[in-house]
Amino acid sequence: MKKLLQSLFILLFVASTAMAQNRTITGTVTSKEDGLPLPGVSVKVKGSSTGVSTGANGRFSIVVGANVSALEITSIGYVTQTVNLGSSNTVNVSLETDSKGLSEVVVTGYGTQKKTQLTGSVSIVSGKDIENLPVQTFDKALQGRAAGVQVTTNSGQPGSGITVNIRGLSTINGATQPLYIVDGVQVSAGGVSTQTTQNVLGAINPADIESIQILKDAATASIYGSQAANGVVIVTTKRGRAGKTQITAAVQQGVNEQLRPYDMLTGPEWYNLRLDAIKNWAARTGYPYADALEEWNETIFGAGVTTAPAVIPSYDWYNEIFRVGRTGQYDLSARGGNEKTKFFISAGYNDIKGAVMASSYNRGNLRANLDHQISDKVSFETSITLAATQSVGHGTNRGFYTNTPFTGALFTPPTNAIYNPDGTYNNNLYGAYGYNVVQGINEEQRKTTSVQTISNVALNYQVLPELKLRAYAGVDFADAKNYNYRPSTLPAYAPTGGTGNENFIRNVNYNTSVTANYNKTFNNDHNFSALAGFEYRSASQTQLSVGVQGFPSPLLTLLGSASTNTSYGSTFTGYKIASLIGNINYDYKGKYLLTGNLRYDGSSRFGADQKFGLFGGVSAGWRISGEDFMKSVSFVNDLKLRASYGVTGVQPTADFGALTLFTSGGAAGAYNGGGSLRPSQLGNAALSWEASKQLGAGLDFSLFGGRLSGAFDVFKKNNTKLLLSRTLPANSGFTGITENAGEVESKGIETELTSVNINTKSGFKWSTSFNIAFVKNKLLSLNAGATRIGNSYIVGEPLNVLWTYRYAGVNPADGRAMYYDKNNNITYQPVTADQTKIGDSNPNFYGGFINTFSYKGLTLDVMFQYQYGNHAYIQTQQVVEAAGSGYDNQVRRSLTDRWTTPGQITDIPRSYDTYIEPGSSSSDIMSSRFIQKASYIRLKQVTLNYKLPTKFTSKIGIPSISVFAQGVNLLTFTNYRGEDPENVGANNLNGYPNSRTITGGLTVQF
Amino acid sequence: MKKKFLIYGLLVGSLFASCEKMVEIEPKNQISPNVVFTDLNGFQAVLNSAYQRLIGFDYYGRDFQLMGDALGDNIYTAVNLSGGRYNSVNINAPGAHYNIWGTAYLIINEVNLILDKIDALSVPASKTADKARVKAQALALRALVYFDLARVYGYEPSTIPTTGPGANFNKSVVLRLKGTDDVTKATPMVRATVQEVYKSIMDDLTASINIFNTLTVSTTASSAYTLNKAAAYALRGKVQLYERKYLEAIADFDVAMTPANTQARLATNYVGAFAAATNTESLFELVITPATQMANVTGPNSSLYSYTHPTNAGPTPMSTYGGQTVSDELFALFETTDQRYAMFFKQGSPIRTWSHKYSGARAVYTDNIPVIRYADVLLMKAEAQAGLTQYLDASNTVKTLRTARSASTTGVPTDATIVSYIQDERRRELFFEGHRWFDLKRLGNGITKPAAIAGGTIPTNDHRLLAPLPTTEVQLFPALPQNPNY
Repeated sequence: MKKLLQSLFILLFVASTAMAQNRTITGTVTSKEDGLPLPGVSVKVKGSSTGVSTGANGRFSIVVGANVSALEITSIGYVTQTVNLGSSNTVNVSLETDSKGLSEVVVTGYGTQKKTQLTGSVSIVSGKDIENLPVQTFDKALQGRAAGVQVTTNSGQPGSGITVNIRGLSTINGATQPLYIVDGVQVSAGGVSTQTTQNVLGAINPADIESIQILKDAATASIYGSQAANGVVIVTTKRGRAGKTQITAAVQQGVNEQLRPYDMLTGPEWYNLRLDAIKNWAARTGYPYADALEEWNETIFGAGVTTAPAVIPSYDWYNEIFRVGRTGQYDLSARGGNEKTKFFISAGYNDIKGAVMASSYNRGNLRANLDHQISDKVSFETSITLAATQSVGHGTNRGFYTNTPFTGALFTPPTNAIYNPDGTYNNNLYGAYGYNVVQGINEEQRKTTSVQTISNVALNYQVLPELKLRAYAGVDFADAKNYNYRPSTLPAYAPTGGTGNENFIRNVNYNTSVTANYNKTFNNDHNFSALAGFEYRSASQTQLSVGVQGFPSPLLTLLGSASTNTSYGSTFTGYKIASLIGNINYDYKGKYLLTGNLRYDGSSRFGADQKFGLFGGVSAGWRISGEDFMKSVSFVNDLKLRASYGVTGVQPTADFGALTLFTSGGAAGAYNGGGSLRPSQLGNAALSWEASKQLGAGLDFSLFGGRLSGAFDVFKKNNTKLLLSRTLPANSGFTGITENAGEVESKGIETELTSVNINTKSGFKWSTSFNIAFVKNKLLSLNAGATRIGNSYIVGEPLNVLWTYRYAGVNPADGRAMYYDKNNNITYQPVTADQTKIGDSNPNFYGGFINTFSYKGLTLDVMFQYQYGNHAYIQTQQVVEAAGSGYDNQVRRSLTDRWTTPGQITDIPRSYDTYIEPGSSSSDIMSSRFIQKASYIRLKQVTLNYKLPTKFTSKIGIPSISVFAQGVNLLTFTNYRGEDPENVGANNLNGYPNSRTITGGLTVQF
Repeated sequence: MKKKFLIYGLLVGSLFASCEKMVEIEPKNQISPNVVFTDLNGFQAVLNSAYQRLIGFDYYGRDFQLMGDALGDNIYTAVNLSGGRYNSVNINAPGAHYNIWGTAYLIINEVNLILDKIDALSVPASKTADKARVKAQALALRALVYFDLARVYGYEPSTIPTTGPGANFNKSVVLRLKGTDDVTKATPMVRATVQEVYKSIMDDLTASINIFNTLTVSTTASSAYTLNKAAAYALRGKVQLYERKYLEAIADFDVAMTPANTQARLATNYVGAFAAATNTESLFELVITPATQMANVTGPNSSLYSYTHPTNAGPTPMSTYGGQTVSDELFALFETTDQRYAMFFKQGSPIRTWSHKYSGARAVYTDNIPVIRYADVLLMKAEAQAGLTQYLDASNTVKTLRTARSASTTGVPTDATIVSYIQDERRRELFFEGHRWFDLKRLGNGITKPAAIAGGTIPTNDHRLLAPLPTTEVQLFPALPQNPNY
């Protein structure tokens, strides 16, 4: 024992004396490509965390012990180099650009991992790819860039909300959107507008983004537990680098225009089509046609005018609401620092006028990202942002004539004048419900003004070289004011003297965490890291609203000037989550990889009996290319097989869904001035999360010196304990109770491929990036005994079934609409029992295809994005393909393709005023006639960038000037009859179609 | 170093220990049911909720006023003007019908919860009358709603057909007399028989009347805004008329029309009575608060005014979805001197007849809803008299009304033909108030549609005389069962 102590003592002594014999190594790190010095490169003693960064001139100086034999030089974007130390105290290193992506570091939650060591499925979108795109929010820029990530724009309104589905849908009532994390802040994504649509993620300027990582497999995502079942999108913004301050300024200007306008009928065309409808009706009902014609003319041309004028007037209502909009985007950033303090500061401004009148988006962004090394052991970092956004625009997917112009502009009969001869709006309209949509769009005010911040601070303490503690706090705060004003100059609001509404929303959402990170290599071969921590999240939303009417003058638009208060509201909702987090990574020689995640989540949304839940996952990888036997296979640079299994959760969407509650009916629910209380829901103490179990396997590869690389993934996901409303007999006073039951299974295959097709010595390079995902889902079960929910969810079928009558075309003999009944016989009056499954709204596959051509300073990016096989309602067609049977204006095929002569085979029934022929259902009822596959391929983006030769620009003192031109949504290939196959949201009625944007710009860097 | 670990460990540990509390958050817009029923104000608030639901557009707020005329023969729906409203109702398309099931049972549950708990509530002596009034109203309200459910979804005791798809079908509605306060009570139940439901309605009304009889009666205009003694009598009389218990019905109608019991009087000016905010003929009238209950687009989208007026007609141009016009057959029933004839105006091309009964009397797009009106009670009394073959008395009762309406009384029959005359008089008096459908249905003479609809006559044993139960309700529990042929 004594001896042992003695030898330990000696050992310690030796060690400490060894430490005393230090030496200083100095040197310069340069880039192999251009020989320029590289600032901010990490220089570390190999196998420890002791290290320094290179300065602005690429120089470093490090004090090392005598026993230190090697330094490790790492920098993002370059291949890591290990330099063996000889006797010389000077080490100059030139780093090779990492074309193979082997050194890429991936943020996997509370820590980072080298891409090569990754055992889960993570898609990465680099900030470089999206920084100059004319999109307002980064989620929109993800479209087509990551396999298995389906991005759907719900509206062409600039800055609008976006739907992102990672690996398809697998829930019915749970949240469907991924968890967004911006520099560690868990963002309450969604919209804050009650008037138009405004995406919360607009708080992040896409130009500030360094990279976006999308955690797709459950094992990786499970570190976020009950919030992670829809995947996690982790956004990392740019941070400062030591070295010369780099200023980047970018300006772009462009236009937005209508993408695929409908071809509407002119006044005379519509008038004559209507005459046909009236003639058919008169003939069928025995009403004298001459009388009907006179009545019709009086309707159109005014009382007493029984014959039509020689020239039928024509007014283009549809075109009147569109315009050529403008896009302006201005960004300025400064990035720099020294070894101790680094900063990235940016400002951005967006000024967009939509392609539809009275829709616009203005946003200003500020950001300051600071890092400061207080001492060797303590560092501090923060990101501070401020964004102010104003969206002006229309209600999307709601309203008829009012709220949005999209129905009215299409349907208003084109013989109605828009303006009176004196320039005022014509309000003597027929077939337009007395509502002049052009006046409406110009005089109604709808806007949302928000102020947001997504900011954080963190303190890091390097307790030991192997152990780091981190305390973190982040906040996502939004204040939004929604404003609506409908002046009394609009006839619809004249009786009430004009109406006004304001609504204030405040979202306060924060998360804090304490984590400990342990990192150690044992015996040079066993790399081990572990993380443990605690996290707390609180999110709340309060709303205050007021509605008024009776404005003394249409020029007074503040609500205080109105005479009558029509509504008021004050609401609160919120939830809290507290969690314990654990993560372990282990690998042996970088060949055999293992990762485990664990999270214990408690949520206020869960019922009293189920307050906490355990989530987690395991993934393993085998880096085949690291094996000795692969050394000889020279064309393989990297090859990794991986598998994962994880359990994540979907939180209930209702914050108080587990409780039995009475609610106040508010002003609208009061009776004769007396307040009311009513039962609002029955509680369920056992209510908990949906459990999503996902099994996945994948292969990552990089071949031929990185010329062909990619990933291939398969997965199977089972969401059990779905949050479902169990139907109760409505005669009990309740229609349902939320409980956990049922199961959805989804399966998929996804691939990302990147290749360098041509790379000539002369500098011409052509690279291609392609991704595709095939995802299928199926509803396996519902609540006990239930086999369907309405017509959208049917056990054994995919989610979101489209269920209606099956159209059998037009009877060639008489032009009537025919349907199949349940026995496959023809019927003219289908009944509910005849409805059947027509399709479902899930695409069979989707993805993107990007080609980049570069030659010297010239770069051309061409990106296609596609989707195939999703069925969609085209409800607008129900009205505009009615062959003039009602007052509404029609699309051209309604005139040209309608049935007119016996024997004609077509899909549009004959014109018939009132739609309803005796013995037939209304000819415009919803049926498979109005369901179509919204498959499309869209030339999403073309960017041509030219970096002026440095030898010219350096003469004027600017190292880098680029000019670019780009187009978004340039071409669409589709058979879809609606305006926009990408925007099929709520049955496509009232959708704001996406626009084509063409911009030109300039980026200057010095 | 170890100490540090300990400290951090403790920190994390203590955070976790308070986890349970960390994830608690209280709603602020809702409260727990135990708090609701602790004082009389809570009971009153739940009763207010039940009243407010009556003014829903699928119930008395619109459909119960108008749909009966469209399903019957008083309305011709101009489909090009109606914005799709009632187009299929007017042609009696299968399934286009009343849909009060959901709303009605929300009311019944609220009223049941009140009745379950009110007896146990102790109140100071000064509040005992208020407590009794809440209970009496709750009972009468439950009776009113069950009566409406019974009329919409089932046959009357006396009109169960013997032929056709509904032959001998005596199912009425689900009879729930206990509130649902937890999920175990929300079990499926089958429909009770017509007789059981009518008995329950009569029991509730009698219990309600017994309480009302102990309370003082108010005859102020606003007394009609809640259920009251006269309304309870009138309703019980109506139920008995449906059961063809004429003697008992007449006795109840007489109490209901006694001036000491109600604010309601036969108006001297028919148009004026409807143009006033509160109709002077109302025994029970639902009051709508225009500012908060008919604001913004609710008025043009859903109001009675909007349904019954052409767009941009009248003194102020107002946009409407007006397509519910007066049928030629109804219009032809009037003498031009009749006050009620002045309720109509002609407009449009082709010219159509419109009713100005819902004129926005209370505010733009807003009219209070007379649920039980004096003239209706009077005509029901006449009908009961005729049912007892007291034709002369019946004739005199009708003449009382016609005199007040400045209509001729010379043609009022005094023999058995008074029976059908009373029905014509009901059309003249009560058009666009929703009675027509129920009158046609309970009298069993079939429904002859206006000629312009070309719908012929719907025989009295047609399945469309009953409304379909909501599909989800039947899918959940097929043993309910659904009405025949749906």
